[in-house]
Amino acid sequence: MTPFAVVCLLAVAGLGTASVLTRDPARQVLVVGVYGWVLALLFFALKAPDVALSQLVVGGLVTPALLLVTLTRLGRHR
Amino acid sequence: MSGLRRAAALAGAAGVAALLVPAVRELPAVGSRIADYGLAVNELGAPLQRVTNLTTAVNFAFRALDTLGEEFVLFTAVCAVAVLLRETRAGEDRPEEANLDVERPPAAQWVAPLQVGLLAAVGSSLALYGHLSPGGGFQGGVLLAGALLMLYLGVGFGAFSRVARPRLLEARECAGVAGYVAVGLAGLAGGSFLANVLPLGTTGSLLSGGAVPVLDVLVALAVGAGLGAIFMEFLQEVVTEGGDEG
Repeated sequence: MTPFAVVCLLAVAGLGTASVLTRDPARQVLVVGVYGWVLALLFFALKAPDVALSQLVVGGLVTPALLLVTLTRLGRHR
Repeated sequence: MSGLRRAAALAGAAGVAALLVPAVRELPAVGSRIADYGLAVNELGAPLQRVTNLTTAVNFAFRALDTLGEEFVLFTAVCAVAVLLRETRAGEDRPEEANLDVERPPAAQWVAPLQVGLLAAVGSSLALYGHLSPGGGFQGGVLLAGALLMLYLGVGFGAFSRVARPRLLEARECAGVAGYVAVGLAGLAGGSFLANVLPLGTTGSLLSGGAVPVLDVLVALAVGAGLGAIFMEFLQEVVTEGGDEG
């Protein structure tokens, strides 16, 4: 386990906790997006580049976009 | 939560931790042991299929049937989203001025249109070179849908809806899925469904790996169009045409 992977693991744990502790829905979407990026970094550190790319595109692009549109539709984006 | 519920939840969590910690400690170290299937794919994958990206080889050659199932999962999801959202939109009557497209800040107007070409190029390259370097049809397809989304974010809903016409997206998605099945049926000539009948070529060149790059492109087409359709349905919930945009 390389030091880079250990750092990524700690960052993933920290950001996961942060995304649970963020109460405002719009901000939570952004924190979850960053969490997705760091998770992709972790997959890359564990030598799984295809999985990292999938996580990056889905967790960084599709999930925040759909979540933000849903929040706007429900009127909770303020 | 009330005190009793919190105590019960903590007791449950303590029980799970008591079982989880010794289980994790007995696991082998990360990367110390590779499963036999992994070793077999590493040794035989490149000579058998003449590709250098072995996860793509597993996805589109050795276990291509599973990828076909996943494509149909996405297809079903797109159908479900379209049916549900169009039904609810048909039922309600919203005033004309509701949800007009907002004015974009200059940062979005400058940066997002640049991203459209960038995402389209990177997505296409990931899909085309999926059998040679990390990536593949799915990742490339999602980036192509992302290029469409950047069009909406940077220019406006009018521009987005001119490119992301529902009929066109549906046609592309169905073409991608049907093409995958067609390649599979062509494999019947080679012995079984999805057997490889195209020439394998030399490892490392663009046209190698038999049907793998063809399936990559078809999956990128289907996934890009399917996700574009999902974006379109979602965005139509919050934006209507008109307003001050391009």
